[in-house]
Amino acid sequence: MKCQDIQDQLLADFLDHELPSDKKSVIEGHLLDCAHCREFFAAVNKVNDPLGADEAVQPDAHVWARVRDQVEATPFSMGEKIRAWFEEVLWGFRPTFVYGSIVAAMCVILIVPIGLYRQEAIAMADKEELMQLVYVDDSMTTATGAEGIGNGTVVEHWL
Amino acid sequence: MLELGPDVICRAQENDMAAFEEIYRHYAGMVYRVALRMTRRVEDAEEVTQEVFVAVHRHLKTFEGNAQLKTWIYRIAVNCSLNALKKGKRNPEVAWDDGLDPEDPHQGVRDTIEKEDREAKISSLLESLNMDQKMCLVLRAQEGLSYDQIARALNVNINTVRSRIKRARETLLASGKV
Repeated sequence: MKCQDIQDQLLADFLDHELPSDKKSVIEGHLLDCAHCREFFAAVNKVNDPLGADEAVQPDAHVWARVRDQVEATPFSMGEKIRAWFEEVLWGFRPTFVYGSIVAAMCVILIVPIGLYRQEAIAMADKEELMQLVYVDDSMTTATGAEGIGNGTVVEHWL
Repeated sequence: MLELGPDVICRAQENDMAAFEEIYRHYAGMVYRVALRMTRRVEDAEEVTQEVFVAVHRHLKTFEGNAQLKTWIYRIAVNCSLNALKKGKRNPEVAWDDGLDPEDPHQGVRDTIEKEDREAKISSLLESLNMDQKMCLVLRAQEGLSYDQIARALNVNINTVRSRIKRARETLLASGKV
């Protein structure tokens, strides 16, 4: 590897510990042999070192006070309120929502068949009632003295 | 820096103010340092820090935990710092320690000449970089983020991060300020 390639690596990946161990070993080997690249790396370190973190640099206490005040004072928009309400309904009261859904589903399962059965029962009753009707033809109508209404016409049996 | 536990984040998502304060205490330093490096003014860095944590509080419910909270907060910090500079209200050419009142009670972190010299040196170093290079170098050298974390915080390709950092250091070497 040429010195230029090594120095490209020294400027970024090597200095920042981003290289895999095999590539790192190659560069470390080169640094042992090449005084020019060692000098270059020392210069890079000299530039980089002052930029290290100073943990003592912290925001003043009044910044937190301002954050807290603003957070507590800022009302949420209507959209956020609606979303929060839905989230609360769906997740905040999750057991209630789940139990409610189960009860609703059971109601649907029970009520729909009952309704269908009832409709069927009504239809059956109508049919039975119909069975009590008499098909009369013109001749029978004549025999009973009822008014003739034509062939195959159903009339109520008044007996 | 260790990541905060998921329980703290969950509690903060449920509007627990104590948990949110814990998040603030954990990350305020890094947000403030990034903002200070970018805006170079204490007042602006404080304003950006405030803006960042108000945004964090507002959007914390949408944080799903598939990214690190640290990277997520860095991204907000970077965007707020850049917005602060774009607004034109701030003048990055004015050094962060220019015109400070020695009687100002908020100067606890700058109470020694040595520290002031160090900060002046860093400011001097960074002023020769463009904004993209400065941001990458600050996140790497100062905050210790990996290239991958920087890429996610800035929403750019990892090779872009690598290239910016390399060019930033080349610029610093060429400026001969060290």
